[in-house]
Amino acid sequence: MEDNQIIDLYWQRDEQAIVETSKKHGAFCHSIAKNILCIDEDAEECVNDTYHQAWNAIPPQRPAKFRAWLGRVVRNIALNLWNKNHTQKRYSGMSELLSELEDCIPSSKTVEQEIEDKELTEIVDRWLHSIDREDQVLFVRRYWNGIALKELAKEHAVSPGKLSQRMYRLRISLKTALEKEGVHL
Amino acid sequence: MSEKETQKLYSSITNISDDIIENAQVVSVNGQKKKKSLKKWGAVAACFCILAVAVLTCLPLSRFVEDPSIPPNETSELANSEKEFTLANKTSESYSSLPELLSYLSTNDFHDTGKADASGGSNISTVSEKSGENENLELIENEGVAIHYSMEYSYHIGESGIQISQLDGLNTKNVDTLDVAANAIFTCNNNLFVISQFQSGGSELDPELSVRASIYDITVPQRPVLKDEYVQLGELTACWMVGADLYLITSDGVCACGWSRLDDVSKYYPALAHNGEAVAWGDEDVSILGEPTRVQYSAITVINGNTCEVEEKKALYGNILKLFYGTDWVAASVSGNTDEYRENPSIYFFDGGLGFTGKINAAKIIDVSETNDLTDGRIISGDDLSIVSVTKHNDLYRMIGTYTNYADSKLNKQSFMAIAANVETGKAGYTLLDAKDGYPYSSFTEILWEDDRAILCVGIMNHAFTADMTQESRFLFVDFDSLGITFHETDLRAAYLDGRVGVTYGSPMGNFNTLIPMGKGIYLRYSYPAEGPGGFDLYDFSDSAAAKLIHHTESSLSGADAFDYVWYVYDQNTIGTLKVILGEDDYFRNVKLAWCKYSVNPNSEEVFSLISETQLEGNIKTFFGADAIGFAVFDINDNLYYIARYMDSAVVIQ
Repeated sequence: MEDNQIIDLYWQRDEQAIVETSKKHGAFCHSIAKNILCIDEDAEECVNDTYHQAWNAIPPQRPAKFRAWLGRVVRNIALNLWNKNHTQKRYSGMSELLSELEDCIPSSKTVEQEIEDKELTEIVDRWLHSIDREDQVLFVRRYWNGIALKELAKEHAVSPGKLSQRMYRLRISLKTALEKEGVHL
Repeated sequence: MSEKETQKLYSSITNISDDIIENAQVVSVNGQKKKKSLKKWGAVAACFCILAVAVLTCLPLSRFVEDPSIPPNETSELANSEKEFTLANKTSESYSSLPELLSYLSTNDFHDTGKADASGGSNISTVSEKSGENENLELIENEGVAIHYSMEYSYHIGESGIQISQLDGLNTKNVDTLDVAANAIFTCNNNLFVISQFQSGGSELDPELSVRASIYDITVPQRPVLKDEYVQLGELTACWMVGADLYLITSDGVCACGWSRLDDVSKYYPALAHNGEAVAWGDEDVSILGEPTRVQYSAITVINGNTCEVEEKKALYGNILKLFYGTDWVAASVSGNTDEYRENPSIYFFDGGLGFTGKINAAKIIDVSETNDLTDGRIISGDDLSIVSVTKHNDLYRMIGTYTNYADSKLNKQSFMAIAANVETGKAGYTLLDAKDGYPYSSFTEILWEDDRAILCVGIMNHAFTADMTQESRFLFVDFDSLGITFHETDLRAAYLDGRVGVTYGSPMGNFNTLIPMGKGIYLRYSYPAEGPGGFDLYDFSDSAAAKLIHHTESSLSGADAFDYVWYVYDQNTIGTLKVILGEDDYFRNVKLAWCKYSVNPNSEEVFSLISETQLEGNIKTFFGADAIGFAVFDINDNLYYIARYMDSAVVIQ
């Protein structure tokens, strides 16, 4: 079923909307949550919460890109759960991603202002548009989808070592972009 | 750095543009499609394979029927094909300078203190190629002995320094001792190069090593005068001389994790001093090979033997497994690895001036995965490649190695592999030959490169690691014709030789030469008619496809004693070899040596006849093989001399 047909089902308050969402995007949502939390049961809980949130948000919303919208919702839910539980050292996936992203944090020497979340997203967005397509895909699949480096290396037919170093260069490139914008997190 | 900051960044990534997110997911779908199409091609290839297997299965039988002289198992090649590969104009796609690499490794260094070698240097092995791929140049390796250009004096590494002998046939005598420790010596015109390893710092348990290259003026041959000195940080990996150029390789490695061992990036460059003055290494002297997972390098310095100036220098940073070299090239086999994966090797080639000429990725040529997963940091699964020997012939690099498949943590299948590659045109050919069922645990014990072929001695364990384990050797021949490669497997069995008398080497490649070319396709190889090597087998290898044994020594030529693998070919029908007189002590104590000269007459009833046996000077308290006592023979002005570390002077063999 096409995404706009699924959204129509939500607008018609037809519970089949959830079934179709699960059929088409269930695995996608699960993988994002699992990549952050590493625990199947917790990921499943996030996916169910995502369907619930979709049911509440559509209508009035009509997402233009349904999959990206769903991904963002599940990501936020998984992040919240991670925040809630990570002090118990329950999750390793997100910790790994965060530790990698430390490379992107601008040096405090460049501080001009503490940046708002929305503005930060715009800068990251601009940077993503400025880099080449393959790098863009790699960055998003690693830090948005949370796909493991090893899997990503298989997808792109390169060795994990080579990819790890390419990702490092991308992170440094983002750091430079943030520093150029005078960002303080 | 606070976790809050990284979380903020992570959260901001959540809301990036829909189009970017969608693009990234679409690529994934394409990836799946690509896999499907590969499967389709895979299915077609599988059909061809089935067809090929059917043809190959039938072919040897039909050939056998038509020509009974061809053994049915003469060839069982898996694949023989030509490939084009992408030319590499730089050694690393990721790094253009050492600081860039260090910046990455400072937080991602895989030094695995438990299993990997963080010191980097000690685990690099070297393999030289001595066949004449460049007729104008000769590659001279350290044998512990060097001859003055006048041919009137020899220098050899003795127990109390470098001994100087005046060569005068039976009147040869020691004329002086140069009181200096040495690992290798070379001469070039009026210069004597003395290479020695020494501890330059650190502690006894964790020593920092350096190598000193001292250059002595030997205008007066018997009175060397120190005139120049280089000191290079690291462990001595190899040194050799080509023409007037001395190649010196040291290897070192340090943990870059948090810049823990060194406080200054500049110290991660190799350190070289000339007469106490530092010689600067810049990024132009550095080649980063692939994507290293630790800081490990081999520094190559080329010193001109006449001017004593550094002509070239290059530091190769990478996960170097082996270095290969010949008269006008150096190659490094590199395999990135961590606890989780191991890359199949890529070979990086450099010319004699240390300029990068190209690289090949063995996995891409053979068409297997470039990386294998490791379980528990050591158990491999997948297709594992190794390159054990490399040579260069005209514009082509030729390589010999193995292809091993591991499934469910067990060795599943092993094949022998030969590759020919032109790194300037991007063309390669390769051939695989299945190791036969029943003896998958095979290893090369010796590889003899010739102009257009390689003769491989393969050691075979019939049943590995069991009580009824038996060992034998077989010969394989690899004929090269440009990029075309043909394996010839023979049924000729030979003694399994994996060590010298009294010493067993785990992997003797490059350490000893048991196969002796006598000329015109005739070869001798040491055999074990008794407890030690005491005989020779005589072969006709003039036609690789029809190699045959001419004579096998049934009873020991050396009586109760044993030969060691030191030989000298006088002419096509005369061979000399070292005999170790074992005496009554099984533990190789109080050993005497003799030089035995045999005539070789394939058409005679007595194929090997002793011409002379000369007892050599000295009584060796504990014998660990000729290598250990620094034994060498050399021919000067029609006199054959021998020399050993325990002797003060060369002696002529009568």
